[in-house]
Amino acid sequence: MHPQPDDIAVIQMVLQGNQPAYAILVSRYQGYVFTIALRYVGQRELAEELAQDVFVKAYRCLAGFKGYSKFSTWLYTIAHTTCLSYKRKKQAETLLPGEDAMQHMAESLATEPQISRLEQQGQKQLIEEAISRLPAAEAEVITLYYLAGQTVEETAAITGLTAANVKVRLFRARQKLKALLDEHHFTTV
Amino acid sequence: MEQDEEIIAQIWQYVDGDCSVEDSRRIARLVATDEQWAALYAEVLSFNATVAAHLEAEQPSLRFTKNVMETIGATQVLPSPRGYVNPFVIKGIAAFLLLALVVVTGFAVYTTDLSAATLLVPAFTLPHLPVKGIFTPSVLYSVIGANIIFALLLGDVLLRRKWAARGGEGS
Repeated sequence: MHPQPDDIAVIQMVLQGNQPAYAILVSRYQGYVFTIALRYVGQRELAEELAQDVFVKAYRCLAGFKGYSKFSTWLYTIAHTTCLSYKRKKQAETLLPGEDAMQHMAESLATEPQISRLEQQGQKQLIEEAISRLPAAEAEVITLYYLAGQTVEETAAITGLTAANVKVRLFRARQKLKALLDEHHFTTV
Repeated sequence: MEQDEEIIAQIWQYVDGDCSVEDSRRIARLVATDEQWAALYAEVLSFNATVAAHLEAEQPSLRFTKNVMETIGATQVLPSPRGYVNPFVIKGIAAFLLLALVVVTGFAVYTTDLSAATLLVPAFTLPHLPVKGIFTPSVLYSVIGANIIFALLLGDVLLRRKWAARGGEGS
């Protein structure tokens, strides 16, 4: 079995005209980009459209990638900007609830029968559901940090925040996530 | 409860390796000796491990890669900005502006007599304007009213932006 070429090697191939090589990058990062988009829009079809848009933008601008950061960090920056632009456009049309909604959703989650929920869903689904109930900006930070393996500094570069702000956001997200999981007597490892 | 939150914040900094050496030693000592700190530390570690273990990337449809490849089939990679912006042109413009600045400043300094006698400030008087006829009370009230409306609109826009930045992106 041949080892997959690293990101930089694939980018060089694409820039030299080997367009099909881009599929390696797409399949390598599609899950992460799709998850980030899903955190923002909450609908799979829409998230898939946004993720596709991210990869097309990344392809068009590939020559502009200088390798100052990891390719994944650069790609997630495009994902963040694309999702945020979409979200802002949507917000201009309809105002969405913020913190209040989060509290309301937590309450509605708590009122549902816990045992049946735990029976129906595994721990993974429960965590996913809890993350989906966080504000998108906090869900994104959790996703980038825990799932995509980005450092605080890289997350700051992606989101355009300072490292200190990312730390604050990460702390808040963890606290809210823990509170949501505690409400369901989630068993931690 | 508030105290717990403060402790948890410190423990997270400790777990993330984000505190000074002294703080790190102090927190390690507290975790080892204080029951409350030990319990909260165990909670934090457990939560961290749980999230890291159970979080998985969602996967798009099986056709996703194919769709992307079909879309980019008709697309070209844009040339790098360095490729289409000649650095010599930028440097040339910068050099010209710098040279122009030096020449103008030099000429000004060379031709100016800075002795005290020539440094007299010319007399300046404001022309007489018929402001009384223009700024009647009704005009003033209209302007103040318009300003209040603009201030409210501006405040609304700023608050919306602040709300969006704080968590309004939440779905």
